Amino acid sequence: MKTLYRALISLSLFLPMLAWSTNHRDGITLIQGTENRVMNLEELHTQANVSIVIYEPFRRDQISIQGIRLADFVSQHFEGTPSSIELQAHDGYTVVISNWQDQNWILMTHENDRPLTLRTHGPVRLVEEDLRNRDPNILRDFTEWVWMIQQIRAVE
Amino acid sequence: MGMDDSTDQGGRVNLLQNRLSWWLWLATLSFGVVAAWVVYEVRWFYPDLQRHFGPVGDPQVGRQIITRSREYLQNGLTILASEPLDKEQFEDGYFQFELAYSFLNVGLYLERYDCTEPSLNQLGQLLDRLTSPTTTDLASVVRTVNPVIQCATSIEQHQWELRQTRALHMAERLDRSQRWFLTVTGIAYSMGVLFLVFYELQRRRTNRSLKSQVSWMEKALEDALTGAQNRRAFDQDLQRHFKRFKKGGDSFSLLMCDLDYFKAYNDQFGHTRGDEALQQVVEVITQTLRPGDQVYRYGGEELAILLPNTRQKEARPIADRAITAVRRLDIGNPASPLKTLTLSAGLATSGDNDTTGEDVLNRADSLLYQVKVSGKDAVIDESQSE
Repeated sequence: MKTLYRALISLSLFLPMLAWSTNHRDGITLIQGTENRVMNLEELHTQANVSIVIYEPFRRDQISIQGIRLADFVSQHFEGTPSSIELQAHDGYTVVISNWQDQNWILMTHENDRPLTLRTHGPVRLVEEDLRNRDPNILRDFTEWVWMIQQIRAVE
Repeated sequence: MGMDDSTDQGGRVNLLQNRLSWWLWLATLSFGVVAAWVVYEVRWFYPDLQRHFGPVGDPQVGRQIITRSREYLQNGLTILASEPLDKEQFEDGYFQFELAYSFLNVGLYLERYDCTEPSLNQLGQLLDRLTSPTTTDLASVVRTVNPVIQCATSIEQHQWELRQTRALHMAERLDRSQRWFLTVTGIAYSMGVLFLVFYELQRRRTNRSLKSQVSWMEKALEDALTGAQNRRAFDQDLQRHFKRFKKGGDSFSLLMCDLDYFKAYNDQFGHTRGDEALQQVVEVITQTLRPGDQVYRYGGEELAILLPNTRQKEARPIADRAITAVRRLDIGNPASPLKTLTLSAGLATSGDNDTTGEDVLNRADSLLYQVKVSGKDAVIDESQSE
């Protein structure tokens, strides 16, 4: 009876696994007004034109990153000049960036030459090139850095 | 002696005024310290506290990253334990584990807590197993996730302890800061008030000194016997009126007077009676003058009367009134042909040809001489001049 019970539970886990795919989290949603579209990660990766080394307070280490500057990304994918940009993470964490034109913001797609995944705070992460006199040990000073971005919205 | 006293008095007033501004500066400085400290507390210290412990707005930020990891692990387990488990629920459970992995995969935890790396490895392997066709039962998932939850919980607890320690440290710092704030601002405020009191006392002393100096200066220009202005005051006022006239002001008139047969009066009645007569003469002349006109004791029994903004035509009746008033005093003077004390006067008015005040004075004096030689007890003005 115990064996049968275990078998049933295993089966109940295994069946959904067969149907499992991760493609539903393979892109980010871009929203402007009533329009929205999903941009797949391959397209985002091809746009990564910035390759630099930064100090990452959450890694507590220097890392090499690839990505695209937020300002460039917004001008390429949104119309007009939004007053601010709202970024929402997969866990619901939301940050509104009003100084999005600041060249310091980077939408990071790769860390140490490897594409970001959910496990490495991806698929897209918002970081800053220059920490600007902030103490990297005080992580509360980096609450505007967004991990696991799933949606970018232009706020008019 | 007069000049030395005047210089001393002026120096003393300057010294008092310097001290006055010092007290005001010190009071301002003290209140400035209070204001600066308040600004420091509000602008720098409290924001520093807020940065560490204040509400950040988003509840996600307010929670620790590790807390979120632990919660996602527990959520994932709860979801996978649902029966029956459909595809959507499985995806959600898997997603919760991925989020848990992400929030555990933080440099701070990897650096400080030994259990982090093995936990990440175990969680990573579990996620790989869940997507592979190999069968994984719930018990095996629970067996894998439990140590990870324990690791997350221990990190969470330690982080809370650190946070509490920091909070205590900050509370002590706050307490110290408040004590300093109260002490420094209390002292600075009291000193400010004290300096203001000193300032007020000094201000009163300075005012008294100024009043005393003004009174002393007035006395220095007054004739002690008659109460009229003295020769020094006359010289100053004559120059002042002449300068004003030369700058386009109205003419002024000068009446130079001399008591007739006054030496004989003194000789006969003595100097005390002579002084009394002089006082009476000055008093009665003053009564005949207009506001602004001024009597001076020029010397001995000579008097000068300055009539500002007065032409000869207007000055003449004033001079006549003065002569008459003195005669009407009826002070007996046996040496005089009229047997009474009388006054002679010469009246001159400033003119365009005058270059100094002395020119007017000399003309008035010359006219007075003419009266003296032609019978006394009268006034001669420039229209009667020979």
